[in-house]
Amino acid sequence: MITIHMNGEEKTLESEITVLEFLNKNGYRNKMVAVAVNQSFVPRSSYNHHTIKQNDTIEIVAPMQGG
Amino acid sequence: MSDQWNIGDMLLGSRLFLGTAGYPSPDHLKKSIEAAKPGMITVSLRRESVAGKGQAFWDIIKGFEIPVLPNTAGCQSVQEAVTTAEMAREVFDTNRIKLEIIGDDYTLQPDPFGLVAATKILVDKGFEVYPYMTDDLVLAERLVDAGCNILMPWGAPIGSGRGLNNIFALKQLRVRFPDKTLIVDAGIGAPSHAAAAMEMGYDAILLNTAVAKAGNPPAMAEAFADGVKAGRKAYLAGIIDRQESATPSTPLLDKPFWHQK
Repeated sequence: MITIHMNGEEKTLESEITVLEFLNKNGYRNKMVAVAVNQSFVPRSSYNHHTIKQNDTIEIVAPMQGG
Repeated sequence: MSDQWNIGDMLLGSRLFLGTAGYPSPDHLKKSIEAAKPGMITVSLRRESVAGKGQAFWDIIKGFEIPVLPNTAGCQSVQEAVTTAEMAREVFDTNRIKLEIIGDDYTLQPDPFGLVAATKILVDKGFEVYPYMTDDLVLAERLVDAGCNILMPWGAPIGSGRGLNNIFALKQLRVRFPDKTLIVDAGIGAPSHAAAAMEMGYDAILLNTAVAKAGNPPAMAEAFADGVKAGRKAYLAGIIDRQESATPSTPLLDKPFWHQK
């Protein structure tokens, strides 16, 4: 088991998984989102080989109102 | 009078840029965009729940087919701003970024040092940076040196509605950067503020709160569109110089009773 933080909340995963697997398992499949891990941008092209590890901090963002 | 203009690689039909935050309802937002017919719409990125609030918002915005300008609002470090810009480029499919790095929580004054550092990184990564900045002349020079073709000095602190706090500094920027695109961003409260900036020769106005928090947002959006157009027309028409004394507008020649006392 590993512990991570997603959008400010602690989550437990069974094991290390790719960003793609993480998004699919958490309901973000085909959603208009972007991802950063540990404050670094992870482009879509890297989703299937960027692995989420113990203590990683993941930000998943989507379009929102802005000024 | 058509006043289409170029910014970056785009041809825009309006010099008013409108923010999308803080409206009483999505319907107010939609009607305000319809009334303003803005050249660009500002948007942001926020943490997305699985419920998909972001998608619902985007469905409203994309229907207008108006170019979007994503921002890095709320970022307080260069790293946060750069990462947010990279995420925005992927989500919104644009290399435009309104770069905001806040240096003071009370005034929301931009951090000039962070702005310059982040601009250098983002320009190297291929972004067109729209920096939300103070009206400081030296900062403007550093941002231009870093690769900015567009400068967005504040009129006043975000959401304050105070208008143009430092007209002298704003005029200096226009004089010193005649070939750069200058946009007053933030602090605008009334259409007359927007018109005043346009009369100085500013290229566009970016505002949000003045419309979103107005008693009638769509009506205020239309008023701002009119104010921006009026200011631009006046600038192009050539405003007269101020005089220290009065000059009669009606000719005195052949005035009846001339010198009859």
